[in-house]
Amino acid sequence: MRKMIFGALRAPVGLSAISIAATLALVAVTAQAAPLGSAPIAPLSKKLVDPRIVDLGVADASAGRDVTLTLALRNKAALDAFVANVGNPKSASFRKFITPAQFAASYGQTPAAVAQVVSFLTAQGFKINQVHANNLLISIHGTNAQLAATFGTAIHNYSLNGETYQDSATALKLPAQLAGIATGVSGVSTKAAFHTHGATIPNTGALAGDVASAGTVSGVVPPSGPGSYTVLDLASQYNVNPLYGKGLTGAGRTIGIATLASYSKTDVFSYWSQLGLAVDPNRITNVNVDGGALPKDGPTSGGAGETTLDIEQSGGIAPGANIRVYIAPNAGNGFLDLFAAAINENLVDVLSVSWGSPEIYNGQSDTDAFHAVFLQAAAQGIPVIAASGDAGAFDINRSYTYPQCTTLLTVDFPAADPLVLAAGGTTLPSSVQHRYGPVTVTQERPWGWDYLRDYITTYYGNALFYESYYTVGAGGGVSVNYALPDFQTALTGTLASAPAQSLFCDAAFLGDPSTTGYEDLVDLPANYVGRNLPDLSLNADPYSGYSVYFQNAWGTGSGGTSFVAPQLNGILTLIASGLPAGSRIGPINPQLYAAFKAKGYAVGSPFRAITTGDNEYYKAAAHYNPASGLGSLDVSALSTALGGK
Amino acid sequence: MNFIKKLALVASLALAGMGAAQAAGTFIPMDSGAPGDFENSWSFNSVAFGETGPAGTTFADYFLFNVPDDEYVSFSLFGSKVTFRALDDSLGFVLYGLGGSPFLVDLKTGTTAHSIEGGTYKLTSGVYELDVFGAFTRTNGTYDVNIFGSPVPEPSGWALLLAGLGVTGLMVRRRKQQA
Repeated sequence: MRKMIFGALRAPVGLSAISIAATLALVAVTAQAAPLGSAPIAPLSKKLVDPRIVDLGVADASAGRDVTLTLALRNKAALDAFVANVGNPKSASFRKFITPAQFAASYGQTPAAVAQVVSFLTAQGFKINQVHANNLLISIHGTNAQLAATFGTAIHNYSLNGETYQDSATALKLPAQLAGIATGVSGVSTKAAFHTHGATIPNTGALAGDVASAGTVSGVVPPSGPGSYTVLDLASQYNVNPLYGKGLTGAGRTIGIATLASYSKTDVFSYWSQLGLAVDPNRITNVNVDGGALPKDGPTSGGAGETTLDIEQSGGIAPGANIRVYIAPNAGNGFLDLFAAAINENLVDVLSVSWGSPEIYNGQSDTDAFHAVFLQAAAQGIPVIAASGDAGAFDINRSYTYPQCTTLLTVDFPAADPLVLAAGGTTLPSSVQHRYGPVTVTQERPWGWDYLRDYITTYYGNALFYESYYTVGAGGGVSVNYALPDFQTALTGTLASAPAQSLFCDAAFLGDPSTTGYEDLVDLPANYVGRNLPDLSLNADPYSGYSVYFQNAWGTGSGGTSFVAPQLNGILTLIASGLPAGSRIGPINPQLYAAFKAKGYAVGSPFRAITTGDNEYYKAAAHYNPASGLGSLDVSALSTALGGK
Repeated sequence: MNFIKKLALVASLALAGMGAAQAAGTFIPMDSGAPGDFENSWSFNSVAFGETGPAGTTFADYFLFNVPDDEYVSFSLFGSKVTFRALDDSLGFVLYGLGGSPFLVDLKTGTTAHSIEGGTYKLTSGVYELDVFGAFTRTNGTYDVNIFGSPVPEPSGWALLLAGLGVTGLMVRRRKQQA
């Protein structure tokens, strides 16, 4: 603690003078036209740079790898208007979708511009892997030396938490020859950037056996109940069965799963067959993107559990649908290419993903590149669904754990993109017997494990609560990267970003030997009128969760919004099978919110209000809220609202 | 001073201070609490930060703390051989919210007394900075800071809140008597 003669009221030491200076500097920079060929690809000012990263020096110049050059959309305003119309039931253009070729012709770069880029990159020594059908992405292969020479930055080796990877040492600079055409380069970093959104009942250490049925493994279908529900229970809970009664199965439609790990087909077919679901043995097609999953994400990995449950859940709810499973490496340009591959193929009717990362990890060019692909999906009529995360209102605290770091209200990507349906989570009514007594939830509420706080802190202590139960729940909150979309305007319950959001971490936790105490990692803007998420919620709490068939056995006590995204995929695919042949649902969020504004929670509404509880910060209420979104579903009513059977 | 004037003062001084080096504040972790006791509180003594000295020494200490949930938070400072007033300034303590848009929550005029009660503020989840200013009136002076948070209650929980604030008031009175 320093001493000083105090002269005047001062700015807070946390950041004010620095941040104000940075803000003014940013204003000064953006007010000037940057010279072509020297402008760095700008990150968002909120982007978090992890101080735990260790620079290991310049990487092998001859090492080769794949990256994807992202190109600028053309006619962006017209595309935005087109997407708004195809998602608006009152528009004459409602559900009049276009093909990838039509999209490329209207909104992708021109063939001449693409040829110019290809010619330039070839001259630099890059091999062209693929010009994507949308004329917005060009995947290339080159060496680190070529990347460095072309994009004005050295490529270094880094390590973080024991993982080594390569990345640019400084911001990339687009060559002048690409000005006005290219916007960025995806995949320069080879770090595994995305994680699954699954969760299980804590069942190790002092908590082992706290819930007797947690994590049990069985060769037969576990008895139905909290922690061991299946798609059959989900169908009853959310009124899917009337659609089956009308003969809908998803037949003639195709589910799309985007994932970063492989799996075993034997597991998913066993799940369906043991539940008595009749399915086509040839219903699944695997599509490897950029070579498919990394070896560490093979069929026995933790990520394989994610892929497995994604297929089991979506395909179980729509047992007549075909399934295309897109599998990419969790590194470099894999995630972007994953979506691009699925959307450019244009063979799936709904696409879901249960992998993500905090939105503030992304730079502006990444955010824009993904958004362009999601615009394409909307234009082609493909709803995209993403899990909203499993760290409650504090998405980033999954990695920067409390109390080693401060809490930071944050949301997950890609769920934060307004073109994506953000799948949130709830806890179903239940009375779960724990070692020291039952814990009862009387009505469906947002998933947030603070309802277990009294029990855990009383019998196991506060430290264990922080370690295993705090910042666990359904992802939800306010984006600081995406503005409030039109469909969420004039909607009671939406919020702006909260004040006082700074992430401080203990230097010891960060492994920073250069200092002691706490370090300020990132500061987020207050009162930003951002996209609110989630949009919808279904049961996701492991305590009221699900059974999964994985590695030839049934396991109980699984949950997470990882379940909800594929469940909504199956539900929308099922509904789509009741639409006229050849039609798709299209941009889903504008249709959901229009239905909500028309029907609210009245009788016959697709939406069921979640009115009590929270996701460890945001509170549920009988209107939109960032804990549960619009609430949970009556699927039969949703089908009617979307024009289905 | 009304709030608008305070904000204007903070803004002007923040800009004026841009050229000055800024030292980091001290982060104060929340008290761990006993099992089942989940009230948020932060209690610390200035000695822990080496804040003591001969008579006449002034100090300006900056403490950062994280409020995980929305809380009603009260502040109490108890000095021993301390006056909470900088020699050339009238400030006692200042409370800021941090984040990308720092803001002033409140400031308290300095006092020659040995304690300050900072009132109770409804703070939303986030990181805050408490600045404390004063001087030692005699050698080896020290001071304690007690920050007590109580959850923003559901409508049925107002009685508990009032009880919690009552406990805080009792603590303040006892500290005053001891000083």
